[in-house]
Amino acid sequence: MRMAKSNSRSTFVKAALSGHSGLGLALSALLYIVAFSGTVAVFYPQFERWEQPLVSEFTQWQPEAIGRAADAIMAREADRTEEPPDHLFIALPYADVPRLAVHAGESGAFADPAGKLVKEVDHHWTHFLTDLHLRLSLPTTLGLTLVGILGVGLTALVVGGILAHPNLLKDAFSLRWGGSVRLRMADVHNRLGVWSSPFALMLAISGAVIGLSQVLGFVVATLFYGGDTEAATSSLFLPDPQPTHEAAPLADVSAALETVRGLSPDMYPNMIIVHEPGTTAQRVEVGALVPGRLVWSEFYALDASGELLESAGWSDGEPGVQIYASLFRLHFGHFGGLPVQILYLLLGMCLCVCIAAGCDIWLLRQRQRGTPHPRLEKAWTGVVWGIPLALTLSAIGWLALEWPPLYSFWIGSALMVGASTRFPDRTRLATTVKSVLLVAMVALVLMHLALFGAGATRGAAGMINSLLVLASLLLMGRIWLELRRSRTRVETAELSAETG
Amino acid sequence: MNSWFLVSVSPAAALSAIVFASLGVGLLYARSRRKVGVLWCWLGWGLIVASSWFWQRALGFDRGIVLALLWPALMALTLIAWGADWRAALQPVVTRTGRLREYGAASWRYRSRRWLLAGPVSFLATTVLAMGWFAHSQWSDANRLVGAALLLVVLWPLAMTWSSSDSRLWRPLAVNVAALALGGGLLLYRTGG
Repeated sequence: MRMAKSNSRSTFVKAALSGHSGLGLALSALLYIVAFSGTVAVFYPQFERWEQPLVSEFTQWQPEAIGRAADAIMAREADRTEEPPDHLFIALPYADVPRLAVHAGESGAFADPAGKLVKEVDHHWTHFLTDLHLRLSLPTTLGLTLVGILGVGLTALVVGGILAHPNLLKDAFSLRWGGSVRLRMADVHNRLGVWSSPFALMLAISGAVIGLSQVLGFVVATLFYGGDTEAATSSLFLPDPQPTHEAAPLADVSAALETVRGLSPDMYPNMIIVHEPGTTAQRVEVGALVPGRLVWSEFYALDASGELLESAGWSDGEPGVQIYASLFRLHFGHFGGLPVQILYLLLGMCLCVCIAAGCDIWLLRQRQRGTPHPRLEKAWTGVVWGIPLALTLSAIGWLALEWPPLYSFWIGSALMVGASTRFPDRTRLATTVKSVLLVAMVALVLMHLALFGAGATRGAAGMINSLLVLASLLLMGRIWLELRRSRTRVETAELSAETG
Repeated sequence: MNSWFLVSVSPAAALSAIVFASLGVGLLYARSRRKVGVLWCWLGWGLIVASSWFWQRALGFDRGIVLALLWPALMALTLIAWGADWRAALQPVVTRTGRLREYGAASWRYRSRRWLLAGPVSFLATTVLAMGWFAHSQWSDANRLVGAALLLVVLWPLAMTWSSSDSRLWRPLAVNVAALALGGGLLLYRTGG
């Protein structure tokens, strides 16, 4: 009886493991790109500041200065084109992003504390990074849906991985670092997988909802709202006004800010969106950070004179609205300052290692079965170390030569994976790519210093460069370890040849 | 370190949460090394659960829950790294070959059917089920919209896990068909179509 029970358990575990392997293998490369880019993109507000480190930073602002900056950017956009912009967007400075930025149509600029435009906004590389994570650089609907499906796949992998691991608690702290490489890989994969599973599930589920929201909105709209997607999602967002195309003075954004400031002294206005600005249809939305909450912001709708019309209820509305509004900060790790961002970075790296080790285990198992896939093994090494390298090179290419990172990253990645399969030895390939990555990271820091001088050592730019230096040191340690291990292996082989 | 999100954090509660959670994970680690008895293991779990109260006091309800789930992971991984035999990492690695038996790989057609079931069929079945629930739920529009989205992203992975691991494909297929019929029936009943 006991044996029958044990056999059925073993069959279940084998089946779960087989499903986990198959699914993981099918998703591995894309999942790795999304996980790695997401781990880096946790710092996207800092990367934006790192791209333009010389812009003046401040946290105190006056509503009148915001009004002046809004007027100035609208005038600049009017000089550029006769077509009126759909939206005017103002990012207000606060401790985490201490810059005042205004955007209208194609025009975007930073402003000084007096509201005077000082420098054009140029976050090209950071936008490429976030686009890579959110939609794999594909067109919005297709890319978001694909990444949403990867979120579903990651959820399935976590569930499958837990089911395939019968001694989950017993082995929770076991890490056998010596002996067989497959055992080592399996331990690394299992320990990282088990302990980071709450993090992976949080990210996967929130990412899947964000990614599949367009498809789901379309399905709900088709079935219940006669194809009107805006009506289907109107319970979650403030409505957009209908365009009138009749000119009017720009809405009084400083009055709108005063109104929102008066609603709650604890909330902190951090963004303003004027829909259909400079027309009779214009409507102001002010987003305010809510203390002690995970919700992105609370949004208030105001008329052109700054009178409050309604709020979106993101912080105090229906539970569904609050859950939806909380998914973004939960996913991006922007709810506890730098400590939480670092926590997300560390757990994100664990997730990347877990994905890399998972595929390596499958490849090793194939080798042990006598059916090795040497080209696939090298291609996987090319993906695991080539993606970080391509990302670093895309940043160098953009900052130094203004090469579009979209092309330099994807062409670079494809070339690297292709070249990896031609490399004679996988171990040497891994060491070579890591060494090139190390050189690239150091070059990026040095180039940033050369371009921006002392600006590269202050604030967010200094932090990003410090992280790059730290990553370089860790990578150097790893390369040293691998070279020493390979030397030991050669010496051991020579010794056995002499004695044998 | 200067962050608007840290202004409202209570340092005493945050420190207590860190101490409770770290101590809890430490006890689990000690138990795994057979240094303490089973009771200490339960105490460890108790401390981890209790730390969630401090996290909520420190950061608020929702942010507190998130950190209560993430901090023990970081502590556990730190302890694993700390307890690992790093010297062994310098030893030559061993790749044993030819030990595992050959196995009969599934046919291309079987694998295609499996992935068709785990992907599009499961997506269709769980979406229709979620929409059926959406149609009949008495909740507000926002609640049922977000509820349907969460239902989809939880049910689809479960269906995917099952379809990709069960050797008898007819079982997940039957459940998918049943979900499709149930969801479709609810939708048709609601829309009168």
